[in-house]
Amino acid sequence: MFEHKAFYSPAEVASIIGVSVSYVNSQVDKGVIDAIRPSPRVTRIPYAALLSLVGTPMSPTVERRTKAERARERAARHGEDVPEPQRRLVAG
Amino acid sequence: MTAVAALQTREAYILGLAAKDGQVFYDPADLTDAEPEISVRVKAPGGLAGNTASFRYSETYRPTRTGFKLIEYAYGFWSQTGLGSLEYHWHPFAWSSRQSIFHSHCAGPGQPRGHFRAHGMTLEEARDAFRLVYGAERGVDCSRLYPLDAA
Repeated sequence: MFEHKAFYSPAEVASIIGVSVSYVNSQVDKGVIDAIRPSPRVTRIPYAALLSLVGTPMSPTVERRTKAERARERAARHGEDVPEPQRRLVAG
Repeated sequence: MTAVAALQTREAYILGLAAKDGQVFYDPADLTDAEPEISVRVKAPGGLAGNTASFRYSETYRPTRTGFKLIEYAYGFWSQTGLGSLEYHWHPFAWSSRQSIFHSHCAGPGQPRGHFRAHGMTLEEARDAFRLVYGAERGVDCSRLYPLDAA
């Protein structure tokens, strides 16, 4: 098993799945391993991506809402307290 | 491909993208709705600390003669570790005469949620933006956004 956290470095992933760091980096570059690059020098591999590598991806869960719940959520979005943009032209 | 199949393919595509970020929860699009909605939620796990972030992707479609047309979306990211939230929305308001308006909601750490101008975003663009904030583990920065109600 491995420590559970939000992100892993390529070195940590390499150690967990038993491959080289350069192999992990090459798979990230090819898009085979899902990674986030918050800056050019930083690569972070999310927990979910690591799980898919070790063969235990999380399956989606259905959470059904009623028609009324869907309509209520949508109405709430439409009724958000968002101000109307003002475009005023003032004669100089 | 039928229009219904196209909507289901879109839903499956979003589920596939979302699964890369964590545990996915979804409400299957109900084709008996006048305007069906694809609704997908993701909880990004953080180990013992619980979930570190959640993402939400919601798209509403209107049936047309030839298929379905996207008429609204609401994409969002919420940090569960106090780093703030960021949302990109396109939907009508009471004052917009049913016309959908692009806008964003942003809240930095400890800040109230503000309303800001935004341009149209694809789901992929929104997800990239959310993941950059999430992966950087820094507070959401709203300082470069323009208020929606600016004159």
